[in-house]
Amino acid sequence: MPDLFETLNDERTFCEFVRKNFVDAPREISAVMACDHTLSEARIRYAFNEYQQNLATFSVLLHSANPDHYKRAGALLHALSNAKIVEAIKFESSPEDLAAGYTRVSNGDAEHILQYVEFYDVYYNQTLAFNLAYKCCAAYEVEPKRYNFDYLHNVSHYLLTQSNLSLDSCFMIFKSLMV
Amino acid sequence: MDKEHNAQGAPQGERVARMYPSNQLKAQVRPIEETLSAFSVLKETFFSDK
Repeated sequence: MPDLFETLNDERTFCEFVRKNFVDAPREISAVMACDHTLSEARIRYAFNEYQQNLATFSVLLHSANPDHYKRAGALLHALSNAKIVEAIKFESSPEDLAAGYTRVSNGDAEHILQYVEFYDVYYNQTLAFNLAYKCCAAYEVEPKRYNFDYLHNVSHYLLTQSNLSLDSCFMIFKSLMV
Repeated sequence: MDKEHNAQGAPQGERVARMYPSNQLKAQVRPIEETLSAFSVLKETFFSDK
């Protein structure tokens, strides 16, 4: 199979890869609660440029000039998180409708779905960015560590609230998780 | 080894910076489709039988 991170050095491949994953990933739970995503092509291209710049920042500090998968995943996470590629989302039922019972889902399911909707309504860009960057990192890891919702929530909150997100901190997210 | 340090105490110099020769991209071991998805984590957290 073609090396994933090597292929992402091509702008067209990178943009197609990000676009496809940002569209396909949310479909995993669309049967429970459908959610439309409005993506910005300009922000996807911006993410590519940021990703390349991040790789160059790491490369100049390495004897190999060839960052490992933790650094590349960190570079990708940093770029995707800053780009905020998804401009808007629209759930089949809003949090208010779910809370009021104005929805097709049963009352029993509504409570759990509401918790998911409330989370994703805030952290959709961060979730999508971490999801993709983690998957890229895990593709190179012999025994990748799994994460739970608590970890995802903490990382998403960190990515959202940092006004000047550090590239090194994004690298450390994967280095400390996997090693 | 280069012993220069900046005002914050971090080592300086090209020789110090390039001190991880083994830090490089290794071979991909699995397709990305076979890796954990955040959406499966969300589904398991919020939509599994409780």
